[in-house]
Amino acid sequence: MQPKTLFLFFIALALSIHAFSQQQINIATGLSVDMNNKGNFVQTPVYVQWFATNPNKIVSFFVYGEMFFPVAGYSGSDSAFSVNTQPNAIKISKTIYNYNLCLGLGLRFKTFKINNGYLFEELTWGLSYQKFTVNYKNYNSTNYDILNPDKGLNNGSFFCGFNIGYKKNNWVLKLSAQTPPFILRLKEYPVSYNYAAPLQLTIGYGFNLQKHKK
Amino acid sequence: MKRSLFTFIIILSFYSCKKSFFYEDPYNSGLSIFSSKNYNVCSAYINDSAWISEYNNPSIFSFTPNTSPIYLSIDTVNNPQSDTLNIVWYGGFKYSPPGFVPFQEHFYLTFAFPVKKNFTKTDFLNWNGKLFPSGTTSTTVLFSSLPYYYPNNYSQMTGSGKIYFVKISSQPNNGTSISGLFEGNIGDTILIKKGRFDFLLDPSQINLP
Repeated sequence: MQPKTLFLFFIALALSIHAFSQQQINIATGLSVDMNNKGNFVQTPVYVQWFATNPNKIVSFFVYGEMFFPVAGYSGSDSAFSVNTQPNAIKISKTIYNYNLCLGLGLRFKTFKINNGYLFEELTWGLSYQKFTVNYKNYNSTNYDILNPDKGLNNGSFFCGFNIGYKKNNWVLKLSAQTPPFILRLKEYPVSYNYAAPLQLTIGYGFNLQKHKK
Repeated sequence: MKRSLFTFIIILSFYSCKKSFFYEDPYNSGLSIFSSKNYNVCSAYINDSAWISEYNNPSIFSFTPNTSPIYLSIDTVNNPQSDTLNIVWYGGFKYSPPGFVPFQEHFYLTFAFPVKKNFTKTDFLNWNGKLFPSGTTSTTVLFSSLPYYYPNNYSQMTGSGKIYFVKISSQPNNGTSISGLFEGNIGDTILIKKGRFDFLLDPSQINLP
């Protein structure tokens, strides 16, 4: 699934929502580690969440978009061999970077009041597009062949997620978990990594928008 | 009648169920990746065109088993001092290189090695990690339209090559995994580059004691 498709889906969804009370946009960032690759991919998420209704209600609906940027790639190595060059066997370093784009919907459930703020849980679902790039360093492809080489993949599909957080005034601290995109990998190129399932801790601020008159 | 037809189709579908997995090498367009995962595939650039191993599928009505894309065998008759180990692949071009004469687009590629008398499967397993030619072991490359053992195999061309058995190991059910690299040439007219193979051989494909 291409990013353009995801973006058009998000715009269509946003335009279809009619606001009838106070709206709020939350912007957040933090740190994310990948649960589906033993924490090998560490990323910085940038998160924009739009509440079309009052987010402080018991149940409120939102749409959101999120981009994950790699902080550090995953470094590993593969073996390469040559028939005609000495040494015949060498190790080659590789670095794998992961980029994610998520667009989704969610429901926030306000639960306990604590210290002038409140705890909440969120259920989310949407579309996730993930891109992996693989860079081999100092690789002489003329004389050497990498055994079981890795390759970058781009793909996307549906996901779902669960978040738990605390909101006080307009500040939000949130812990989020998300499934990898549901992709069948029957005939996909055999790579050494899995599609990412980010576990992230973010801090953000909510900006209240003007009330709409209807 | 319908049940008989259904049974026939089921039997036909199991008719050579061994699967090969072709994943294109991102660094060598047209070739399979160099792997050690029993993907049952061999490929190489021959005169800069991609040549890929395949099953020799007879007519669906001939009731003859598909010819395996690979087999190993010992030739014991030609030399009283030593035997010859042959690794034979069958395959073809997607696009034949210009001016490529030999036979058709599909042919047998054989690597032949002189080995001691009574060469066994255990001796072959000890070739894990070895590159040939090595010491007194030379390597001969043959192209042929028929398997090398056919008498009067006129459509046969001979040259020399190198082969690197990166991994040879025993597998469950008497299987043998082999993967490696090769290259070679036949005079100045045929050049083999970037050859790679990855196979899980069952006992029928490896004729060694």
